[in-house]
Amino acid sequence: MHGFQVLGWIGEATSGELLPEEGALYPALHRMERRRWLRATWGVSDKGRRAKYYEITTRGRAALAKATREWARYVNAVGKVVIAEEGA
Amino acid sequence: MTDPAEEEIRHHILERADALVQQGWSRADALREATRRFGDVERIHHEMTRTRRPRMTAPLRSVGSDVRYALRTVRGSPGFAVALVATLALGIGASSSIFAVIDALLLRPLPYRGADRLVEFNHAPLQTSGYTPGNTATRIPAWREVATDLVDGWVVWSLDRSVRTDGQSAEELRIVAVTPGADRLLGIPLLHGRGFMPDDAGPGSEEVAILGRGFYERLGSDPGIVGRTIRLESGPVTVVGVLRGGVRFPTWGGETDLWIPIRDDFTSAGRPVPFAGGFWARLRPGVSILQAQERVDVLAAALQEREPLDDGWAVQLVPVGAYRMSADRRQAMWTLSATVAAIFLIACVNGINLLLVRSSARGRELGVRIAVGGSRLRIVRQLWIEGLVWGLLAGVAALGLTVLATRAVAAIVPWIVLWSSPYAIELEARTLVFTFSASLAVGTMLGLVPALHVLGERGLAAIAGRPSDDAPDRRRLRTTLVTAQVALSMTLLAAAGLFARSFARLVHEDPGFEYDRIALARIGLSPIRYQDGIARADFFRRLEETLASHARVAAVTRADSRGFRSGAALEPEGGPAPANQPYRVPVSSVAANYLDVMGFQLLAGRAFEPADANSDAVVIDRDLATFLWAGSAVGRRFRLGEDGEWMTVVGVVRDLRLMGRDQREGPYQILYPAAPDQAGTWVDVAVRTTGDPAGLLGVIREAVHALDPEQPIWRLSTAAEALAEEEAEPRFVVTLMSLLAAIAVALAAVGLYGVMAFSVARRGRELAVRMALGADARNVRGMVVGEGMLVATMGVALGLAGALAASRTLEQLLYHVQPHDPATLAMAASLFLVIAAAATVLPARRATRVNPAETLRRD
Repeated sequence: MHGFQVLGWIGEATSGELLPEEGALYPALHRMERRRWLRATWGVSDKGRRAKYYEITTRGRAALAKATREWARYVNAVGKVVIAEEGA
Repeated sequence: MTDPAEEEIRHHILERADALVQQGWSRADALREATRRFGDVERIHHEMTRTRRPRMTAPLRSVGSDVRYALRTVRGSPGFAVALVATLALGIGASSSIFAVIDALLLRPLPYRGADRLVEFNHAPLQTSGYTPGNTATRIPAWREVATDLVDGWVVWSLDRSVRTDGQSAEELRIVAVTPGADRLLGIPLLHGRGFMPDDAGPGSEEVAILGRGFYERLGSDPGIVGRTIRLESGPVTVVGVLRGGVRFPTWGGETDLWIPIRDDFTSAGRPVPFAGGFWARLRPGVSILQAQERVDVLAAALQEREPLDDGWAVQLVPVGAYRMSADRRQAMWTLSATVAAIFLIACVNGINLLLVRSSARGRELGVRIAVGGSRLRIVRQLWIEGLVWGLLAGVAALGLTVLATRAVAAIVPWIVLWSSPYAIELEARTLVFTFSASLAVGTMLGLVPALHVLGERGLAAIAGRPSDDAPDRRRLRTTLVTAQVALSMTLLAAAGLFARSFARLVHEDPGFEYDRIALARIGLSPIRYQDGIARADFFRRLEETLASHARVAAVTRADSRGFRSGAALEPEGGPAPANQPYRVPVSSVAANYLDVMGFQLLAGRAFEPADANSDAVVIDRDLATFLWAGSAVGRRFRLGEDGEWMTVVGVVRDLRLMGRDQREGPYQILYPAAPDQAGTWVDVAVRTTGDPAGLLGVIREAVHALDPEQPIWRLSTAAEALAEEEAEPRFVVTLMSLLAAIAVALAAVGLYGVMAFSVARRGRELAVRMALGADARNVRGMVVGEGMLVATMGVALGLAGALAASRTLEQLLYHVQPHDPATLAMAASLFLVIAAAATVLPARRATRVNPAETLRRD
């Protein structure tokens, strides 16, 4: 997927809640590329434009799995706090 | 296309524009909207490419690009930039210029070599009552002999005056008599010639002198003056050197015209040195003042045995800088610094608030960056650098303000304040360093407070896209900051109000005589040409005759210039001395017609008569009469100290404020009758006129010149001018305080306005709903104003509490006004609330002008 497609996917997945500024995606993509979580290649899009395509690497999957676990733990913890507070 | 990041961005925007066109946008609008949605292209591009640079220089380069980014935001919103920079510059500029004043008067080390080791040998009485003899000539050689292991150099100096004359006119000179070697020991630079050598102080050597810079310039700035002689009233002296100037010696006394040497036999210019000056020693390196004091105590005891003269005296070593400023003035200086510190804080708070308001849009962006793994440190650094850029911009603007303000303060600072300062008030390196540091401090606060706030905010809230700028904790922070600001400026306003009231009390105080009809001339007759009281009295009798013959002169009188009696208790005959004895009592001996000519109001008894001369008759003021006795004072006797002569009160006047209107130097006053055929060395001649006393000044000058062309007049002015000069210092403090309080209040009002305006803008939707639901404009307005006034009232209450807390400090600076004076505090508080109301009404009006339908549709 190139950047715009990624954004479209995030937009669909989150009903547009996550990225207030579309461009904010790109520094993140680049950072992940530098960490070799993503591999990027230049190609030509279906509209005939030169575009940069990103693809997740094995390292990237591992990092995602780790981050997802951490995130779940975090959300779980925060959830408990919030519920505890509301119950109080 | 050489830049892949740029190409990627371009690709994204084109794709988005395509999508928008499909939704029905025009091509041009679609492109514009796509760019808007993408966000800050420059910054994103910078973040995409930043870390591709070589590792070593990366941090530095990214600092550079942070700075560039910050500067772009400055350029991007010039209105905001001007408001923020102006606010901060006001705070930095005010602090810098007050720093320039306090630094010159109090903080900067004395301009002498080894200044921190210079101590003054100060002879102080062991009992509180008694007369301080100063350093007598006989004692100094003894000290110099015994203390050589503690001290590596001595300077003895004494202030004197003389008259330079060419036979036709006369010029009064300020002279310092000083021991040889002082210039070398203290590191005071010379422009031409040499300093005093030991030979210059030996017996039989010729009289020599060193010129001060100002005097040298008055003589024509000719370096050839070295080696020539100038004529003083004591005789000719040979000029051996010229001071370069810029360093005052001693630390007080204003510019010096001439140095003359103190000889080994403690005479200068043929007369014994009076020792009205100082006896300075420089301690050897490593000798502490406490060590030295211990040794000096032992030596003093030995000296006292050898010389009974020392009985009952102690010698205290005091750092020379300790005399730089009286306790009262120190207090005033610290009050001023506290005031500007408060202004500085208020300005910073304003700046932070402005940035918080502006950065609320960025809160989300930063939240996202944190959420997607952006380095927190990196974000903090970026915000910090942005803050620093703001701070430094403000610093540059503040520099301009500081230059102007320092010049303005230097122009209005009363000479009496500068009189005790070794430096003039001017902009110099230390102030610039202060300005720079203040800018950095401001920048750091400006960057870090919002940064901590952003980081402290729940990342979730930011990601969820909730408008975090209206999050309760952010609003609470802003409100707290504004409340603090209002409180600080309220304290300042209250203090300024108290000062202004105190000053008004002071200038409306009746000085007790008809000052608007009097011209005053202070004349110090040359002790060389007028050797005794009879010769002096003869001069003044002839002067009075000349003046009295003038058409506009109604009457002439004179008083020996005021002096003090200190340390002796006032004691009524037959009764104990009352408690609360004054520190010192001003005394003066006056001609028989003095009370009448000056227009003093007699409450009881009578004025002096010629027959009173050489009797025990005195005239006192009402305050002293009340202090000594419950009933009538006339005919009763009192004395000053157990061994004082008894004095009989013949008259009581309402007020005798010869000390100026501010009586704190001595609350009571005693007048003695002067013997007509005697006069002191310093005499005030008072001339009463039927018209404007200013017209008499030339007449007096001519009359003195006609009698003795070589006799200068020390001071010549109308009595009103002389009184105004005494008020110059409180006037100066009041002027500065009022100015600073005005700045503080203005800043606080701007802060209040900003926060209310922001809150109204953010709550447009809520207010629109209220109005759509039928709330009328007045209700909404009332609600907004009420909210603002709640903050203002809390701030005012806190500020008043602050003013009360500072009352002990203020009390010492106020004249006949209590620091908790309810009228003043109430007035200041009301004034503040009116200003606060004005600052909240404007946003409130805007709130009610919204069109509910439009606002609701927009959201």
